[in-house]
Amino acid sequence: MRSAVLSAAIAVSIATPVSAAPTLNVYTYDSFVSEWGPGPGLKEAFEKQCGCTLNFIAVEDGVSILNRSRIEGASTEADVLLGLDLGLVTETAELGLVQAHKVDTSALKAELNWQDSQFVPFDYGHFAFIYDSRKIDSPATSLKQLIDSDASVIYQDPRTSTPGQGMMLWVNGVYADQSASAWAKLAQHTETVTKGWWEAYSLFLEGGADYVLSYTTSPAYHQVAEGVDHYKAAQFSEGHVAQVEVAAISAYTEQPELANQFLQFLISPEAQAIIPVTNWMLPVIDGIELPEAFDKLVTPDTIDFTPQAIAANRAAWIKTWRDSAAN
Amino acid sequence: MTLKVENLSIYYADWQRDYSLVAAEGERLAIKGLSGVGKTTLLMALAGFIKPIAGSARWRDQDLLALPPERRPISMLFQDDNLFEHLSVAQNLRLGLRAETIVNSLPEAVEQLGLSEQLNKLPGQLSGGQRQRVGLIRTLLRPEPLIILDEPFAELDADTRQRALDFTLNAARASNKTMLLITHQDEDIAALATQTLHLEP
Amino acid sequence: MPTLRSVQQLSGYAALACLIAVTFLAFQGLAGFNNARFDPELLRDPYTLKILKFSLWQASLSTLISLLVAWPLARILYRLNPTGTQQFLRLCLLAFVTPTLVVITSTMVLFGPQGLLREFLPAQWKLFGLNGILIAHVYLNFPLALRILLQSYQSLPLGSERLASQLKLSSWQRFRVLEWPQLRSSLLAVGTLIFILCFNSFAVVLALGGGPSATTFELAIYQALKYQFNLSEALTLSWFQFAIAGSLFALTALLSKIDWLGARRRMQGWQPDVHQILRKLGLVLYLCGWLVMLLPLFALLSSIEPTKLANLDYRVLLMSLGRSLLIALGATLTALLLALVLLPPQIEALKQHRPVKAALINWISTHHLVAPAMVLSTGIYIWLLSSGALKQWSTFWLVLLNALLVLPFLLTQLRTNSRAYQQQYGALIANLNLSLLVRSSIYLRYLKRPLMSAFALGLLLALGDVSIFAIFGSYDAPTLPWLIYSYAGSYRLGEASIASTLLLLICALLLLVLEKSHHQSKV
Repeated sequence: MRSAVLSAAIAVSIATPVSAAPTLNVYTYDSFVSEWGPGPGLKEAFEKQCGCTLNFIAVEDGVSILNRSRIEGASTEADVLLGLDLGLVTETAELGLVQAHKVDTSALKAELNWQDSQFVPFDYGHFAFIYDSRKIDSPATSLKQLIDSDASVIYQDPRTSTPGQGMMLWVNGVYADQSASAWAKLAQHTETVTKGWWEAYSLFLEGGADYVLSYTTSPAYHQVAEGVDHYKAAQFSEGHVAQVEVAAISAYTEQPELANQFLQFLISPEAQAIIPVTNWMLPVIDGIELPEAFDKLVTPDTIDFTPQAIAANRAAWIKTWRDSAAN
Repeated sequence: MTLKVENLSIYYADWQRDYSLVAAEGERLAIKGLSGVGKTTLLMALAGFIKPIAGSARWRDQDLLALPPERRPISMLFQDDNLFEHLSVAQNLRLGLRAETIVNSLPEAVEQLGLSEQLNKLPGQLSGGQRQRVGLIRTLLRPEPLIILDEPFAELDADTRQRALDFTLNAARASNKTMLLITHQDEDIAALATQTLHLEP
Repeated sequence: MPTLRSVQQLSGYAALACLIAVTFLAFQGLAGFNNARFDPELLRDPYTLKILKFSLWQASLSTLISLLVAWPLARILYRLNPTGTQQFLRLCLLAFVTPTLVVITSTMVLFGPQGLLREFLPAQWKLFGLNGILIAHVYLNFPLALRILLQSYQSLPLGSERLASQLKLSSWQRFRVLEWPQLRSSLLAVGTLIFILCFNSFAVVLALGGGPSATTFELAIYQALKYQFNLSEALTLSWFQFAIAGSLFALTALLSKIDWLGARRRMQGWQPDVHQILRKLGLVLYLCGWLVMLLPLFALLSSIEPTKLANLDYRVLLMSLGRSLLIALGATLTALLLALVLLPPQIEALKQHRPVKAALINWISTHHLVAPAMVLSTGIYIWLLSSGALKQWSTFWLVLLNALLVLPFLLTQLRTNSRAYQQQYGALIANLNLSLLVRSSIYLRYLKRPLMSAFALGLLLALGDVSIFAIFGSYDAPTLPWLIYSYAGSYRLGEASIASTLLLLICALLLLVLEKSHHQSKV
């Protein structure tokens, strides 16, 4: 009798799997999950409310997220793709890598005019040229002025970085058919074209050039983290190109509800309070208390590009850049 | 006396030795002694490849020791390493010879010492005796007035030895060369030397 | 009953097949995905020709300058043998194995727009572009050329200098008869090697190139893969690069073998005295050489901030060092094993007087030196990812690919010794009819010292890997070079400098071990 009960107990305990907390896998870019980035704060906050484990899987940058997902296809372990930008969403959608979300996007800022059913933005910013106000008294006030001047400039490669792509869109947006000659003129006073954002920015900080392509929020970083305010963004009259970073649910996830919960969390006030001061971009909902430094940032007009337009023209624009920007 | 070596003091490895010798122009001096007594060292010092610590060596009243090896009036045959391994016999022979010597005297010498068939070969393809004969020809046909030979006939058999001795004697006499010669064989001394120097340990 | 020889031959050919399989898999990985295909149209695109022109141009210039710098210095070291020569040579070897990342950073610190040397440079000086590429390439490669050329000089038969002086050869004759025959083959071999390394250059051109006009094939492949995910373009460019670099390499395979760790201390024969003025000039150049070699280290040390030194997360640093050592260890041991297995077929072919066959085997064994590393890693990566096997196998491939990249260097190190062993003892061993175990132990004991120095060399080379880890490694368990890279990436340059210094220190230590064992092996 006792042995029967014992064996039954053992059988039951073996047969019943120990219920573990579910894990949500999020593909994102590496600076997001560094200890200085938004990753750790978001992870702590989300895990409190979901009773799950949030697992960030870092790849090099936004493009790598797309590439890795497309290669893995159905065997991907990603539940959420976080860190793509508008330049990549068309391709991502066309490859069928993501699915529609159920997130309530009514709280998003009106100016974003967000309509997409698959992607949810979590931060945004404008590209801008940063300069050192101790060295430059009268910064350029338009892109044309910057290109026509002989100030040394550092920007990024449109083929390998999102700011670089932003630059490409900017030049094409402002110059349209004349972009080739614009590139050529710029090439004459370009210090270098770097692979990614940090190579350019760190070189600039060491005094490598007069202007570097970065974000309107970069001065806020210096103000808050370092207490210096001589790095400023130049505001151009033609308007700036925006970068909107988005997240989406993988088409192959096995936990769509949890994924939806995470996306909803991303645009909640709690997450939106963490992101600006760790990722140094602007929040996508109103009413977030930001450090004073953010008030001093330039607020430029936006040059609009639809994701479809970007995808359609990218190859041609890159070719023009490649052939004209030789220095 | 054309060649005057006075108390030439050479420090080599872990011993030191003093040398003195004289030779008149045209003399052929054989240097004898047991192995290790310092014969080669003396010749190397005269040729300029070992630096003596003290003493003097004069040739025709000119200080030999003040000159670098490539300016001393000496044509030397070493114990080994007399040929460039990557050059043919013919190319090796021509080095250091004057143009008219190459045209006039060389073919005869080659013939005399039986090397006509070896001219286009590399030294590595020759026997020890053949290599020595090549070195001998060149050393004797060079224009320098003082000739130094370090065991020049060691690898030769009886027959070639005789021919080599004849050749050496004739070449030396023809240009009145002064010669210093290291050898262990008495027949060499008998055939060539006008004087002998015994080096005692 | 299989004889030992047939077992050796069989395992050798099996290993060769594996090497070919890896390359094939890599290309297949690219080709199989999305039906990417070879696109001959691309080869006629003016952009492709531009890449070709630039690649050839910068590689040629880099090679020429490296040799022009190395040759006089080698001569000076040979003739004057000044104090500190051995240390200088050690520094040269360190320069060759220094991770590219460190060299690039130092170059920027020294020659950049706000560089330490800025005041000595002309006003219009621009680092980014051909200038920067040449500086970095020359710094990385001329030390190797120096060591190889010096070794050539030291291999002159002992009596040659003496003979040349006795024969009163003129300087020109001296050069023609003595120096040139000795140097000719070394110059060609090391020149071709440097050319290939510069032709395939990636990190240097990426960081210092300055813009789209400075592109090599490796870089173009990276750009095609990265943003456009244009596999056809990547594939086409890869084949093209492989064809060019590969055929050059095939040439060298027939020429003399390079001893990477050459320039050992040797008994010097007699040498003519050097004229006083020339002697002084030579010493000045020698001192300049020291300066050039030490500048990057100085640049590195100057960018370390003492405050960072105190606050550094040493646990992370040491753990990444440990990981690097483990992976490098695995890679080197694998490469050594492969080398030992790959040598018998080659030596056999040489014994049978079939140099073409031997050269072919040699080429296959070492072709990963010329295969685009970008393609190898990415191709395998895609192949693994699409078959869902990445997680389990990434470490395996990380180690294996590192092993394959290190293999060519180890092979050349071991080949001469192995061959000598075969020539000297081959007949005796066959005669004694020994068992496999006994034969192997005798062989390995003979090779012990060369194996140890090859091991240290492989370790040094594998420690600096960034490109393979970038694809197969995981970001939360970084190796030391990757840590440096990510520190630099998040603008923590102070930490990056400290980590770089640590890496260099480890390399220097390994180098000392390597030199000790190598000197003893060459008796």
